[in-house]
Amino acid sequence: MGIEAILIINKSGGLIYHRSFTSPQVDPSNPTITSTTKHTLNSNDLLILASTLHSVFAISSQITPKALQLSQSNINYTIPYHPYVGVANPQTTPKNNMPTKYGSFKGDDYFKEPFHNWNKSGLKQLSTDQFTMYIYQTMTGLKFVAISSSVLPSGTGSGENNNNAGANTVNINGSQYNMGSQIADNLLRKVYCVYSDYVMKDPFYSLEMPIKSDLFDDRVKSLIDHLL
Amino acid sequence: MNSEYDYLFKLLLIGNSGVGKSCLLLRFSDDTYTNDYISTIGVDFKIKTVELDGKTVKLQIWDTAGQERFRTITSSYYRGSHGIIIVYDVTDQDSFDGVKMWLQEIDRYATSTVLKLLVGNKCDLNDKRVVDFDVAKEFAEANQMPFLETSALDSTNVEEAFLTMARQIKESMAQQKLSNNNNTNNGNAGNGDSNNVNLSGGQSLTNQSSGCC
Amino acid sequence: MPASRIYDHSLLPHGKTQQEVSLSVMTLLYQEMIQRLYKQSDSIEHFQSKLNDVGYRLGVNVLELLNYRASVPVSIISKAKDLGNTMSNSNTVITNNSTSNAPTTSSNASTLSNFIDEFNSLGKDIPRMKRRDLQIIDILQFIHGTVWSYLFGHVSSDLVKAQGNETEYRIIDNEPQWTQFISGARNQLHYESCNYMLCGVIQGFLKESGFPCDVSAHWQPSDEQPQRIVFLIQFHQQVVAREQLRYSRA
Repeated sequence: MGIEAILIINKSGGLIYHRSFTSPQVDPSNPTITSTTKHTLNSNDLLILASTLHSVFAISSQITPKALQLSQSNINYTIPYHPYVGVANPQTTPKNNMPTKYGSFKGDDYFKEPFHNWNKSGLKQLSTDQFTMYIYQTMTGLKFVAISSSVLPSGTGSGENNNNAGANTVNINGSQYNMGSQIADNLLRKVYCVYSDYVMKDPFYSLEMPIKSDLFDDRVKSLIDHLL
Repeated sequence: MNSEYDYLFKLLLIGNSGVGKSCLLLRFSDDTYTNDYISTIGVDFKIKTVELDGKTVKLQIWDTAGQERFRTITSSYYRGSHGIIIVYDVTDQDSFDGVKMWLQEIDRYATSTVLKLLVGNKCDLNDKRVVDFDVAKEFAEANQMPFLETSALDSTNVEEAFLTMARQIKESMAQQKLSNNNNTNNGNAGNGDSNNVNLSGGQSLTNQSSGCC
Repeated sequence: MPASRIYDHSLLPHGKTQQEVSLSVMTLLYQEMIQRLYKQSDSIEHFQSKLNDVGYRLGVNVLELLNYRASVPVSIISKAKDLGNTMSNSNTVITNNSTSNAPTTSSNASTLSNFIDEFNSLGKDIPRMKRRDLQIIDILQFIHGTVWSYLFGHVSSDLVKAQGNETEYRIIDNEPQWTQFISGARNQLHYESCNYMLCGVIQGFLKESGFPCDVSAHWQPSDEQPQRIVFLIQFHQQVVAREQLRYSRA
């Protein structure tokens, strides 16, 4: 899936990072395509977009059905690990092309275990006929947003059966919780890993403020580049 | 890339319905005024870019709906705001009485260090005035917040209301910046130093002896 | 084993059982320290010297510890390791079964007393121990190799003698561990300043071993190594003069 943009929204709804991955160059043979398909939002529009998203997120958690809220303990919020999302696969990559390490994370991937989904009642995925948007929320309320150019056919999803469907467990990894979303969560959690290294360990970063770090940029870019 | 601004401040406008929050904001962000009354639904955003001490600051102002029915949603907007502007209408006693309730909301939902500002709007309508300047001033002092009277119609004090707040927020974040200013002065000298140092050429000594490891 | 183990660390070298600290915690602490010192400073030079002071103290400690370790004969080290193993084994035995382990403990006791004897005889070895480094190159090799390995788990990327200047040497680190998450491209001066703790370590090490010098950090990125830092060591003239007097004829 192609990622068009990555956004990071802080816990108060401010856009602190935005990066677009669609190349702005205009196709010389058909210059009209880029102007219609690629979004060209200015920074103010993006701020408004992010804050609106934050609001919608807040509203959607209020309209979560009561039945779902009450049965929280029965829901399995574990997201399965998909190997090497956004990083080089050591089996298929030549040795000399392998990055030596991933910040403070050891091994050949940032993490290797299934993880917990903190986004229990908010907006998780937004599908349109133009793009799909995925939101990964951290425990502290930071939101990582990926805008993907791939369009999902509605109602389908190659949900994996992750043997976690117990007797009275609702398996959210089933059909409504599809593969694309899982991969997006894996990817965005890695962006979170990169954030925790290159933003949180930067002594000159002030909390909740726009992220300006070329190192962070590079790592995010590398994650997107490795994503097929 | 997104590096065109250094700071992003979240300001919140609250107050009873119809006191002119949106008009005040429109005056500040676009310097226009409209007489039409359109109730805000949920929340509206305006962004104003200002320069403070050579840094680009984006003030993102969250214009909340004053109407009661949106109250459950607006409470979630208090989180992480740097400054809150409480607006009342000088021609409407109810809206001034409502300020107390808004202060309670702030206590409940916002951080205790948040900056507050009390604004009495529509001060151009002096003949219809029911809230005295002195009464409001006293109330503001009792609650330890600055106070201004503005008019979105003739743009009195509007700019000041927002810029005062922005400056205060910047100052509260600025312990770090004090030394930064000095650094820019000394910084050039420091850079000059490192440019004078010759770091090219030389002979590697690492393979001469194996006694090191 | 409890986490406090690092404080119980023996003076003797441990070989393969290197103690590790979480890189994440280390760098987080480092950034907090920098933030704190930075706020307290009124100029960048002030900040650099504060950070340098912190490193200086570390350098002095490292000097004592690593020189001691480098001087202990290998036979003692291996004995110490064996002893450490049997001791920890016997500990588990004691907790598991306290009746049947009598012979084990006594044999342990004898190993221990043997070891103590041997260790006491270390005094005889003192004349044969590693001597204090007297030459610039030797002590720089020690920093480049032993000190770097102790602090970061690998030797430094390069050690270079400046051309045409007898007093200048450079130690190069392609991936400085403590400052790897701080951007050099955004603010070169800030980034260089953050590396002054390591400058302090080098300076403390050298100064306390009789090589007064000034150390500064410089950012020299390459395409593959965007974080590359050069530590420039400028010895005081007296050091070079002494070295020439003592060694030039030899």
